[in-house]
Amino acid sequence: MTVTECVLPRIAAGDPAAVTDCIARYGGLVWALARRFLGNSPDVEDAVQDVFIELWKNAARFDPVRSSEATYITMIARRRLIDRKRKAGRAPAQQALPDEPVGPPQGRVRIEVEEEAAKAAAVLGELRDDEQRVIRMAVYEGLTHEEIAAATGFPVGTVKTHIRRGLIRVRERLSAGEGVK
Amino acid sequence: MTPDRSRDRLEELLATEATQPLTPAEESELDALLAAHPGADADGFELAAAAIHLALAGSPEPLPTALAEKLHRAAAKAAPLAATQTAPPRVARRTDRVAWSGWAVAAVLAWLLLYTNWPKPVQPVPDPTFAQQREVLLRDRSAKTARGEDAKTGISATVVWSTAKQEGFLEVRGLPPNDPTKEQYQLWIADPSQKHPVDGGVFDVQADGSVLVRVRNPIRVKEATGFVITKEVPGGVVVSAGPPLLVLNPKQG
Repeated sequence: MTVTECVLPRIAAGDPAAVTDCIARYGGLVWALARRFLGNSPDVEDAVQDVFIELWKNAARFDPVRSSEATYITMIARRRLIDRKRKAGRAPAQQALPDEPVGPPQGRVRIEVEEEAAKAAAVLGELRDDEQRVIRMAVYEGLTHEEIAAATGFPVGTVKTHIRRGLIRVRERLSAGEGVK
Repeated sequence: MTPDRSRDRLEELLATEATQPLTPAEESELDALLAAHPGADADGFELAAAAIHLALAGSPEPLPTALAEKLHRAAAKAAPLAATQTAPPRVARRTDRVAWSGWAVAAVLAWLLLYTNWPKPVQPVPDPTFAQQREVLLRDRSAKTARGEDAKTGISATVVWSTAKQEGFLEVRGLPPNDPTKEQYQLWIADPSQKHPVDGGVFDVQADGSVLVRVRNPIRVKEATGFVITKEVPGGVVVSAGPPLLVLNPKQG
């Protein structure tokens, strides 16, 4: 995705069609992230709305040199969702959610996500098994450092070190001129 | 605290923040350290965590129609605020403290007027479907096929996989549809170089029992000697303890 095809700079510039495009392109991504973090909580829909409002407010901060649009949006979403978890401080309640879809994610977004995924996956593949496991538990499964320590038998300090080392490696890869092409 | 120790602590807190909530005391400490180190990369670890999340997550789920409509209504009420690029990146972080400037209020009014006349979303040229991508991979010399079938349950599956390209597609027929909020199917790749089977990604099955998904392996596979499908908790697991629903063996000959 080129810079001109990115939707966030258009939002920042006040293009009224851009918000519609943003929802169409990234709605599925944000929805999946919210479900990942909050489970089947009644809070999920509010969380998705909260993330999008935050995105629109921070649209001008997106820097295509530093990351892809999908990664930036995932960062904003994770930030808001982690904050929600902190405020809630509990596991989500179970409740049925509507499942009528708008349609499949738009093609370019899917490809962009695939590219970003491949980039980070390559770095993960360079880490040791135990480091990969800890990173997955922390980043994707949302376990606290203490929970990871309990699950793996590693000291909390080791867990923190694994996470930090993995994040440093990925950060270096992302900052090595791997932004939007 | 020495400068080196201070920077180390800053990095430690940023790495923690990227993966779990900070305590109020840690947040205050982080803000103070960022003020003391104005050149620090405040968002780098969060961007890294986001990229990792994308690497481990499956394909985005479709957004429910009702929620999409709700978002459009919210957009009509709240115009996006173009934050200045020169502002510190953490100003708007985790709070609703963003100050709405006068022009933004005017922008809200403009948005309310424009919303009713918004054009339809731009439809990009469709990218190749998974079925088309699989056909391309099938013609690749490096690709191998693995099949599995359970005569009792009627479940059958085929994986097309290329170790050289680290790319593959799984097609399943006959699996019972799942509720993604309660359980998801997960694909595993048997690789003798790894202690445990490699995660190939989670997937959901449609009402007709079929699905075609891209294999998503966060870890590089050196040799795929087989594939296994299990049923796990939503999002999948690191190491499966469940029984295999189906084992797929490389096609002979």
